[in-house]
Amino acid sequence: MTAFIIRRLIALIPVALVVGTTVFGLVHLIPGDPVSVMLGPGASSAEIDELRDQLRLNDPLPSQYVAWLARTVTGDLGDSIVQQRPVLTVIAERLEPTIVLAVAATLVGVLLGVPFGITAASLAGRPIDRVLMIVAVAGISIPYFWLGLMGIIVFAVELRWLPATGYLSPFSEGWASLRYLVLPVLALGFSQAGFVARLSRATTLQVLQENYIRTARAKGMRSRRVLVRHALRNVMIPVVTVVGLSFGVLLGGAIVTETVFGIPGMGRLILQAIQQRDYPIIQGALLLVAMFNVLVNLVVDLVYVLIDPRISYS
Amino acid sequence: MTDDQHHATQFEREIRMPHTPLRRMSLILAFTLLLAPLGAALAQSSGGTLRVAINSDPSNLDPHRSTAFITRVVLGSVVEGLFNLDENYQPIPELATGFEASDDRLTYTISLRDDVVFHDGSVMTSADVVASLTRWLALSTPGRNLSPDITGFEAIDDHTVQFTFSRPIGALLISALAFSYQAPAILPAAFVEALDEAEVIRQPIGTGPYKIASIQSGNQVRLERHDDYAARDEDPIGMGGGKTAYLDAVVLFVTPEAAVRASGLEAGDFDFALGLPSDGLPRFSANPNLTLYTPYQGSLDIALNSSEGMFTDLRLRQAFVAALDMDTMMLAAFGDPSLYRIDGGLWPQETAWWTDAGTDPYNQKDVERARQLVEEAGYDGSPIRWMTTRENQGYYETAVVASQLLQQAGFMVELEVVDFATILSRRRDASVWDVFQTGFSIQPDPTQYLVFDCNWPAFWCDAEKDRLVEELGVDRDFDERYAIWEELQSYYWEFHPAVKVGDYFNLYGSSNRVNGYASLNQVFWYNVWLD
Repeated sequence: MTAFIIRRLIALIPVALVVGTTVFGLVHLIPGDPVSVMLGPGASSAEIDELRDQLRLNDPLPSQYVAWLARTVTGDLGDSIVQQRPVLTVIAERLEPTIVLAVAATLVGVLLGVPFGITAASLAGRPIDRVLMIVAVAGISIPYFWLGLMGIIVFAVELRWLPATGYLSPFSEGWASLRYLVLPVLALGFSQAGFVARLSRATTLQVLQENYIRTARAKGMRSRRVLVRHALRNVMIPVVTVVGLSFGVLLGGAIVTETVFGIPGMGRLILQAIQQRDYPIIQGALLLVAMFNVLVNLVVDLVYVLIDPRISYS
Repeated sequence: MTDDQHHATQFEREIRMPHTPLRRMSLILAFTLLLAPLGAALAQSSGGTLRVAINSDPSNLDPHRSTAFITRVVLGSVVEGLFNLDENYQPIPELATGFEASDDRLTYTISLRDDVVFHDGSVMTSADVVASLTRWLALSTPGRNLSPDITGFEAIDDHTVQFTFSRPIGALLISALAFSYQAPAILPAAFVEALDEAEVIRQPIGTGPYKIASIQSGNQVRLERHDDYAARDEDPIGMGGGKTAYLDAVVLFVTPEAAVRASGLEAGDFDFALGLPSDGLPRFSANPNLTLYTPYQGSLDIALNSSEGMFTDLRLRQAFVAALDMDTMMLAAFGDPSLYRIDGGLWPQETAWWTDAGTDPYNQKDVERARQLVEEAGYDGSPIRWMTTRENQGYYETAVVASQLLQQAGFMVELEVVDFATILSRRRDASVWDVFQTGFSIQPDPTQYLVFDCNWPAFWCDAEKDRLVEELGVDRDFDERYAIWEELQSYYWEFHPAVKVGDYFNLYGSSNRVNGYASLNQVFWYNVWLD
């Protein structure tokens, strides 16, 4: 088991190298220049060239690549060109809202989705199943930014129960921050929940066909107990896989949700860095997001072992 | 009257003029107070935090370097220069008390106030002014344009600095020192000297009524009252004069999406929002809780490549200009006639420099004439390579309308829709484009108009233009300079290095609790109070 984890962690290195090099190539392929953006449309060519020289952006690309690689292997992601601060500091500021949002939305997705999915499956074909699945399909199909905007219009602009935009840190502001999180988390969590509910329902229906379920029922076990004791664990395996994948995506920042609700997270940071051609930020952020995804997948693999004793990696 | 006295009185006139309407207003106020017992509610009150939605992240707060509007939004209340502007965009003293020009106008002596305190508690002296303006002269476009003619810049004593010139450019210098576009902000000498050559200032220490308390990148900038601020002993004038910091703090929330700024303002999360979406104008106007402001923002312009490609042919440039219909283009761009103005004058009507001289070719809407010119020029049918973007309001919309008109005139048009960063870098290579879009805000002096700069990517390099710009740059009476400016503007409309499309106004909104906001091109929070 430990060997498995170590092997997976070592696999991070080639992934980082490939992702890093690809991103380095891509960001330098897009036309545009960070200094022109930084100095604004009125800057003259002379000013732009001078600052490009000082920031070593006029160096040949291969030597920029070598310099970047040499820095990155030591864990130094460099400085933001536009903000002139270490990339890690800039990213660290943006990580908290993104993680808070991702965790909360995933929790909402699982806590709503799994019970609804299993309930629907156990009542398959009945009206409750139909209603739950209509809601779930709506959750998947309605774009969450639209849901977010409707939420703002109803709960912020009309009813004034919740703030329309902004973000407070739950760690420093405590309960006051919850009001800011309700709408974005629900908007994002609702679509997650719809997805999870559909998946849990389908898997549950499949699991309920299994022989061991029939055996359990034949023993005279109550169907509720059959569901919880025998079916649930087996339902959870595909659910954990899918939730893990989407959690990894959310860690890269929910760009649209962050924009609609004015949340200063990773998504907006990456978008802004691309618009400003702030190469070190784009490279650093995408590298970290790739690492997160690998790590989340590792955690998912480990969770399998907890859920299903038949799986082992030794 | 010597030249010196002439200048002194000119300043005084500029200071005094606005007093008259203000006095009249205070008389009316006094009457209202007498008549209505509730009038006391009108009094300005101190305290409170103003929550403002701003449109982009001010990641670069270098006053000497940045040309970005958002930098000026943050720094407008934080840093100050030796001079500021009255409501007609003419210079008035700010950290300076005034200046004297020598008879030959080759020496300008500027005297400084002695009561000015920086945010770090130090008192401003001529050493700070020399350090700051030396950096500004080296880094900013207006500074670089002036510095070849500046032979000396030094401190005479603690509260006097002196410029000497190789030719009389003093008037240009004073205008440039009054503008906030790449602001000649005065910062402490120790702060400036500690900067590396390539370093970009992130958190300037200024002398303004508000100081930067904290910056959370991508989220918010918090300004707090500068308690030791020494205001000028006069009423507010335009963007300067006496400044009062009524508010305890101003928090600027980075909110890139216009619809979000609007909903935040309507929901009461913000007291003030910059850059509201123009399509929401009817809704905002109908909202009794909101006050709207439409300050002049700038012009929308199209640069033509007269140095390389098809538009080296004057007839094709004339054809291009003849085909355009500015009314339709501006309506497509801004949606409501109250948000734009059709005007071919290169300097806006808000300023003393405005003139309509030579603007006949503006807004001809003459597709027929354009077609004739296209035929005369023997146009070979190769498409106009036009760079535009959806990022800036109005660029794409005007490009689409213009392409239709140009196609009717016989041109082929190839719209290259990219992001703004791509335009900014690609336009530097004259061989890859024929047309790109841009815009200008008010600049200190017509000599500094970017289109006249041969190195600026319209690449207008022309001897007659250079002669007129140099003539215009000579320090003499305003009326004489104005006559040359009329000639220069007419030459622009003959040569067509670029085409002005129109002026546009910003749409800002605030809750009715916000009072005293001066709706001017420069955004600032002094003199603003909350009920």
